[in-house]
Amino acid sequence: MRSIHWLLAVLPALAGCSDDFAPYSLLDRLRILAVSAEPATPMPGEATTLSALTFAPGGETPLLRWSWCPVPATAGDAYACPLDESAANQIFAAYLEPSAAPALPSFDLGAAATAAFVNPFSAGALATLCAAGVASPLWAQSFDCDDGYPVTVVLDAATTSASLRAGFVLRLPTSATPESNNNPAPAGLTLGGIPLGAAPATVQVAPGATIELRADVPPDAAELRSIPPTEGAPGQRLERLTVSWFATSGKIDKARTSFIDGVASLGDMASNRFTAPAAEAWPAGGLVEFAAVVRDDRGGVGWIEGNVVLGQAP
Amino acid sequence: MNRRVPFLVLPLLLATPAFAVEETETISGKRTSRETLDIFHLSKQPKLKQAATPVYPPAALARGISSEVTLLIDIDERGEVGAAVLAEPASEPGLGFEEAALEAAYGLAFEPAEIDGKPVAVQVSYQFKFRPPVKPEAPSPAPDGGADGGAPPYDGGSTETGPEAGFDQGGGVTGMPLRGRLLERGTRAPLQLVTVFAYREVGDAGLPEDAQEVSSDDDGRFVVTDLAPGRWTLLAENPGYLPFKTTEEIRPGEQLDVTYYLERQSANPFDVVVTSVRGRKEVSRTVLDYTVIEKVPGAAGDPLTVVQNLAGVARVPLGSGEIIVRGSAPRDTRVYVAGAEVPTVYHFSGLRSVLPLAVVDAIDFYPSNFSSYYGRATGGIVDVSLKRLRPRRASGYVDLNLLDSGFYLAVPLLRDRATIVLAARRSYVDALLAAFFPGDSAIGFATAPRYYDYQAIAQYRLRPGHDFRFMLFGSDDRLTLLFKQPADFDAQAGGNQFGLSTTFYRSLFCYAYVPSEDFSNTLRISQGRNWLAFGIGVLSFDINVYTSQIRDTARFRFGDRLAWSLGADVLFLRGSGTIALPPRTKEGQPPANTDYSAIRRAAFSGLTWWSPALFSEIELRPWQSLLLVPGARVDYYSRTDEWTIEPRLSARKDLGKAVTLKGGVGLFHQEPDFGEDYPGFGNPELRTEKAWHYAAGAEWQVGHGLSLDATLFHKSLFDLVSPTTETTLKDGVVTPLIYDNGGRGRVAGFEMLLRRDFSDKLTGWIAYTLSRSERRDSGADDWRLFDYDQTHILTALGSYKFARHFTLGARFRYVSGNPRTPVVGSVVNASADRYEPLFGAVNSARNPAFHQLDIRIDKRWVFDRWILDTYLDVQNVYNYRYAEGLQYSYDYAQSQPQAGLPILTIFGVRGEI
Repeated sequence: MRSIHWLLAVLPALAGCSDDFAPYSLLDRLRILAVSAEPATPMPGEATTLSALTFAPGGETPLLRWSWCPVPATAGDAYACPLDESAANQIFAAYLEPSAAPALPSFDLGAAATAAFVNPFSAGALATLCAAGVASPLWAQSFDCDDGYPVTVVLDAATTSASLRAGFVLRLPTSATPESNNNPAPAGLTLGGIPLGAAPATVQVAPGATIELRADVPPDAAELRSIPPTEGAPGQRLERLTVSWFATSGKIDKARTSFIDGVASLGDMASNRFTAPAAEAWPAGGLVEFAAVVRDDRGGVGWIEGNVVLGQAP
Repeated sequence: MNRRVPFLVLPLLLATPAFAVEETETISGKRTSRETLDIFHLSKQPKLKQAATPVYPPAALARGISSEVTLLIDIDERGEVGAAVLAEPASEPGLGFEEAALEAAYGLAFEPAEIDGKPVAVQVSYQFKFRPPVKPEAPSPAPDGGADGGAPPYDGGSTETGPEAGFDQGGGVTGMPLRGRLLERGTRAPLQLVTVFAYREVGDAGLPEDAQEVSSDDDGRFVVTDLAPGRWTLLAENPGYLPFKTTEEIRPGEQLDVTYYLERQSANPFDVVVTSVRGRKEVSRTVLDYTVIEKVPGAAGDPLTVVQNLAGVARVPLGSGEIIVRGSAPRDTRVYVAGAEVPTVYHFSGLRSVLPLAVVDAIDFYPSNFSSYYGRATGGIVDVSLKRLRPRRASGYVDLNLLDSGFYLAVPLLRDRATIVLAARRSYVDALLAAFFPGDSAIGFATAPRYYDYQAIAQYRLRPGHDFRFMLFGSDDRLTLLFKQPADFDAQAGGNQFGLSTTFYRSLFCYAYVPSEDFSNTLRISQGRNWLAFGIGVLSFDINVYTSQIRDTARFRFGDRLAWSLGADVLFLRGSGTIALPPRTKEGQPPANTDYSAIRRAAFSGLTWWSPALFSEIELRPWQSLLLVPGARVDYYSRTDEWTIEPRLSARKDLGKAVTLKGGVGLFHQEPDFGEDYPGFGNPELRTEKAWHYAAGAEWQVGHGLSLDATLFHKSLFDLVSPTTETTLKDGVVTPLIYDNGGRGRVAGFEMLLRRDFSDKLTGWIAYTLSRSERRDSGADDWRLFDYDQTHILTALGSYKFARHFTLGARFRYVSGNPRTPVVGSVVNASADRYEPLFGAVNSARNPAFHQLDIRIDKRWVFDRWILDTYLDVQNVYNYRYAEGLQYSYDYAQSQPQAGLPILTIFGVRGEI
């Protein structure tokens, strides 16, 4: 109570990140930029498609492997599931949705670009889990169930030279009539006013010059949601959105921009700036890949990619 | 007036920084080691009743040699001289000046000094001046010119002439009177018991004749009654002051009124510092007084920062604001101000102490094995006592420096029976930051960062033995940052605002009743409020705690060998607030990213906690050289619903006059930290944390103001609150324990303090600590290093006072780097859009060693009616960019040292009246 290390918390923000390290928005190594589930909140017995936005240098396509864990796995343990499948099946047998499989889905969800996961749990059973936790002789745990029961999706990505693991919390409904929760879907990406897509557009820009980078995020991307108990009085508010910006070359002004109703507008969130690389760092063929990932505060994720050929303006 | 002056003897009672008063120890009357104490702890200073005339050594007399001899004289409770020792020999040794002075000293008699109306034994510095005799001759008019033997060294006096009407020259006096007053230059404090010589200088050599001698009274006034018309030389010399010499023209029929300002050689405007002993009982205690604190380089005159230079105290990084003592956690050490615990001692977690130096009397620091008077802590105690001023006149200052500005005002009332002190400071960090962050910056200030603090002290002596004090002090820090783009701070935070406010105040009433030296009672009643608020987006807490404390201590003395203290200490807290935070990171847990998905929320009001305690301590001296202090403390903690009993014992054994062996053992308890036992945030079943302290060592008064204190220490910590993943079943609901009492700790070390008395020109200390502090977390098999384990802590500091109030000081520190938990990899948190570090074994790496040199230069200009004080504090002189830790790339694949502060220069100016 006596000491608050506020200075340590704020100074990095005031000082900004070190310029000695590559910025978060620069795609120069194996990255897992996003993981999403569609639908974001699968109903009992419903399948959701897990997909990922990854990047590997040199055009390499990383190998992916999907897995899941029926309880929260912590980042500090590298998202290792604290239960093996046998124990998990014993513990969670009573919580399964009768119409689904008689057992939990295999923890291994395959090695394809996408994976399908079927929600095996009964919403009512999950509500019980959330209220009382698991008190099995094999394992005991309580759960933080704001926005749904949390299961962990793990994605391992590997190239010939690197590997990376990501964890993603998938919230499963604890009610038969949960709040609507859709993934935000950005509608477009523009650089200097020129729309970007899979086919590279050409943008004339001088080395080191700065031009506007925009992500078109429709207003309905921020859905109305109930205010979680941790935020105070019950009620509803719009989802908070965050856009994460990426490029394979050059420099993006802000690695992330946010929308918070009443604090920062959708317009503020949608706008960013891109500084073209210096002449000596000009990418081969002028090709730069861009990505913008939009997240809401209920686990919804969407993204958009676009390529551009930078033409060196005088 | 005795006009026959065979030789001049100047008995002078010093009231300067060189003035040494030493209480004898209460139990035995035996003198122990010295510590520094404000002279105003004496409610009455010793006053000379009877002078003594030493025999002028014949050999010196024959050769016309003059000299001075300074003695240290013990004056007992009756005002009689018990002992006299040589402090400064004569400049011409071997002529017998010292022997003559020592013999004469026993003929002196004083009115005894008093503390709170009780006569006390003291030690004073006393100087005899030997001057060759001047042949008495009949007064004669001074010749025109020729009698002025040269320009005086300094003429700071003011002269008024007036009619002699109303001045009683006394019967038979034919000359003219001179009335004068001696004041200290700069502070205008009256100088008492200063001898003034009036004489005429004749001949080319300026030989004195017709010399007269008078002494100034309590108000600094003196009268020379029968000066013949003509030019007279007046000389006032007071040890510790620059010699004052001037000439006055006495005209027939005119009375002369003069005021002379004597300049102190080492000016310290508001306090006269003396050295004293406060019945040393503890195994380890260090006292820092005003004069020590003020001059420590690198501390910029900040009172509590100086504590970090002591043995056993770990170095903490900037912004920490913590005090880590002998391997204990920061919260294990309590900080008291005037007996009341305060929630924070620094503005903005380490920027500056919440108390200005001017209101601080001394800091008592107990690194372990503290008395049963203190409780509810398992580490150490820092007790800041506020000034006990008895100014004779209004005084004050205005202080300007780079961080803040403030004022201080002390006013005597009711014929010096009462005093009121007012002080306040306000920072202008807000203005400085505004200069760094222009209006179009990504960061705005909804509330510009600023702090202020205030202090009021009132004291009143109803009559001797009855002293009342009232103190009010408080602090307020506020800051609100607005990030134009919320994601610039933390996209997960859910807001764009960072806010912090820390406010507290304490009011304290104290009544000390000292009817005799065999009994005393002190009652303290304090009331206050702590209000802490913090918010980053959806994370917040806003806690308001009212605190009340009643403490009464009585002390009985039964002769010279036994004393008994007992008391009650009742603490009552009432709190309300809201919290929305994830579980806090405990010591030993690596600094992971904030988990916004683990936020817990609570709102509470009217929560009450109370903790009554009884404590008792016996001071037993079975032999003159042995002091045993057994004590016990019984506490009740309502938060843990737990009674605790704490036996404690310390012992001191004198081996001759210079060496004291010491040792102690004791049991200590403290409550879990706030929130650790609150449902949802912690474990309501937690018990108190406990520690056994063991210490043994020796003190050696080397001589020449040098002392050495060496201590071996060990702490055994158990029932420590430790994070756990265990759960419990409550009413059918699985509930995480979050914490339990399964932690253990062990600390062992050696510390040494070599200190040179601060009353001399060359002062300072060398503090060295060798230690190892380990913890074993709940459920763990292995011990690990404590977060702040620092194997070697070396601090060497010193300052030298040059002439003309110029002081140069330096501090050098070398400290082992803190343990660090290495990052061995990372994973992507795809929900939070960030990388999370994977840590290796806790505290299995260590930062590089820290070292730094600081320099401080003080220069004081003393004018007749005010003082200009300036200082330059240069920190990190050789610009060593110490790496406080590592800074990582976003994916933790790369790291680089996180450079600390570069060279830092602080300049301050203070005008004092």
